[in-house]
Amino acid sequence: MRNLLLSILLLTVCSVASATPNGSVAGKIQALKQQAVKLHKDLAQLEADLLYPAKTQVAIYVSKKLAKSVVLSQLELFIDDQRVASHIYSAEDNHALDLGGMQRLFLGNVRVGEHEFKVTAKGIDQTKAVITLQGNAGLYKSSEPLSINIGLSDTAGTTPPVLSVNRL
Amino acid sequence: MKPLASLILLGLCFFTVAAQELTPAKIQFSLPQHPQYNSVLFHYYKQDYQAALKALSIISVTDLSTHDQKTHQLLENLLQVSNGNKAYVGKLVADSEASIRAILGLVNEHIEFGQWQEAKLLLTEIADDVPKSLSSEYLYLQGLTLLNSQKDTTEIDISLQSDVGALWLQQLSNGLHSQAELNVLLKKVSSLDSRFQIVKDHALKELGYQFLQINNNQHAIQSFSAISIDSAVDTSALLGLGLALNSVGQFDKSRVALTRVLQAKDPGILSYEALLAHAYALEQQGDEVAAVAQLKQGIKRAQQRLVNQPQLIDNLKLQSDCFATLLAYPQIGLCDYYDEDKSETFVEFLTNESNVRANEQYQLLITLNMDYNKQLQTIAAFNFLLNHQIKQISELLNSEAIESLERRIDDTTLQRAAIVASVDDAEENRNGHFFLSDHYLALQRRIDDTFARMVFLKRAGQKNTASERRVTLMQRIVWWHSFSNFSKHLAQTRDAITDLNNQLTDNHLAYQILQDFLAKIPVLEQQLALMVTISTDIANQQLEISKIQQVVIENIGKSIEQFYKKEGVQLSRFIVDAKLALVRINDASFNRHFVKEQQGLNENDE
Repeated sequence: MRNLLLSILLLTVCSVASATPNGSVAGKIQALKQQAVKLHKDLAQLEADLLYPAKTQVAIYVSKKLAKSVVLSQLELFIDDQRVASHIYSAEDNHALDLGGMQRLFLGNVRVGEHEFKVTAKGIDQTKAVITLQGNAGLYKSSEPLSINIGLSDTAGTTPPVLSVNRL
Repeated sequence: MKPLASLILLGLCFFTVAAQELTPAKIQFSLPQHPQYNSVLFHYYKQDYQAALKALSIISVTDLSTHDQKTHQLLENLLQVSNGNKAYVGKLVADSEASIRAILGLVNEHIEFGQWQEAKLLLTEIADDVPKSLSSEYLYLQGLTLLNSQKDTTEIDISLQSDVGALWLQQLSNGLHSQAELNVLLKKVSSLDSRFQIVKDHALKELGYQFLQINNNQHAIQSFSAISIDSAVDTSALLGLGLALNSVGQFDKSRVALTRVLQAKDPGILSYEALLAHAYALEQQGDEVAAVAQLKQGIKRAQQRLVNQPQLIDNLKLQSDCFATLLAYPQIGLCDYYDEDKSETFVEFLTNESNVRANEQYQLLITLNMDYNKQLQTIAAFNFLLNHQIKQISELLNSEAIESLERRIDDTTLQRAAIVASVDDAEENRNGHFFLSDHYLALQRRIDDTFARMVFLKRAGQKNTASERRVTLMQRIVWWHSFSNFSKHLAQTRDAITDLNNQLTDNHLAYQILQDFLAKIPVLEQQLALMVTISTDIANQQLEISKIQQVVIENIGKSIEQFYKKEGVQLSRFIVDAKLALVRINDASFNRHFVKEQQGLNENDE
């Protein structure tokens, strides 16, 4: 039966190759795609400028700086006691964070002034124990964009992991 | 018998190229100092290249330095290549490890789809730039292309105890080699440790059949016997072992292996080969009756299968319709199955079975169809986006909104001018302001009263220097208090002016943005019109796919007939072989009886 399908499908390839449509339309599509991508880029940037003006923009990133292995499993973000974002972490997410990637957890608007940023997270440490971490900070939002880093760190392995909330 | 089996089974032992995953490594070049770039890397490390490209696209490059703009461009090129866009290969900086890794990923993709020429070109392009850390990956892919072009590849040296090395040995084991080369390969494959057990088992099976082909039965047995008992390799390895053991006269052991093949109840020619070999082993052990019974049973089964073939062909042709339907509508994934192939694993088999390279074939047709769908979806998404944008812009740009904005700008300008004038005036006449404040006047009255009382006392001849001093001090305190209040008021007014200025700037910016939008509308409308045209073209091309499907169905029909024709020949050959074996056994039996009878007669005569 398997040999049968081998034969069948080898012939199928030949038929497909011969019936592939001409390239002129494909060329037009490629050119159009390039234009559309550029336009989309402009629109996306414009949209971001309009939706998140510098005066009120706040972007919150998550990063890891750990000497010992901690697998992040979930994280919640509160601004002024209001839950604004949460994320469940996959193995890929953790791998990307371990390599130095920063996850943009939240992009939004807050008014100018003092705000309380609170984060709670759960993870699994290298002893396979579930750990719960908390971090918070009161930060002033000026008329400039505010970028905040939620960092999971362990001071080069010398302390237990902690969550910190800092201005970038 | 053995050459026939070997020929058939070598066909079965063909493996597709084992895809070797090239996951992105840590980026070494320094990116512009902005967390947005790290968030792009987050997606890159997750191998979600489209999300990474999207995140990169919304970073504005206008504020970046020339050096940072170049790095930005490099990152974009890298992401494009990682996303499978080979048009960006030439734009990559070749001496970057990340670039080479991305290009090797692309080579891997070409190899998976059998595009050997493209793979070879890319490999040649980066030949001088491969860093040491990627040299084994490079050699592995280069070896595959060489193997495909039938060149001698055994001299390529790759570290053995690595994924790449193990996979390479497996690939090498597929090709035909001299006895000396095969011996070296067997030694190398045997030295692989248990981390690479699956790859090792497959390689051992390949080697076993190659040894069998050159009649090196001891090495064949050594290869087949080293395969793990929990191995995922199919029963063809057991058949190979049985054939090799038969050749060296170890019939007990060969029967154990061959019985396991027979118990697997494979309907194909493999089980008939096992049956023939098993009967041979029985015969050699003197159990001619069992051998004859087994051969007769096998002949009966083969003849029955030959009779059933027309029905099988019809059923399989019906299945080919199903197959074509699956290609056209992969999301349906349902199909009626017939006869021996009424199996839940049919669809899985079509997509995963390496022997038939179905995945490659399937992918080609699916990709063709999906490409059209994707293009249509992309265009539809852009249409939606553009329509949405045009609608938003139209709403923003109606004359009322513009007029309102202009009025706001004018009002704010006037307000600002009025406040500035008022503040200027207040500053110029601050003494007046100070002396006219109610608070001050009330205090002044109280001071005047006190002072009058003091003058009265002075006139009365009473001196009170301390009181005079206190009154003077109070006057000063009141003055400063009032002045500080005024300063505070002035500071507040200045803040108000700053706020107004900010508002004015914001209004001007909003106005500018709206003007930008206005300029973009004709472009957007032009794009929309073009997309409609392209959509029509694509829809027409999609119709062509149904014709391809028809060709597929016809080809499958022909292939089914060819397959059963071939199987018919194989079955007929088996029947002939089995009958010859029966004749041989009968002759041998007859000869023995004859000899015995002759001996009996001779004894009687004596």
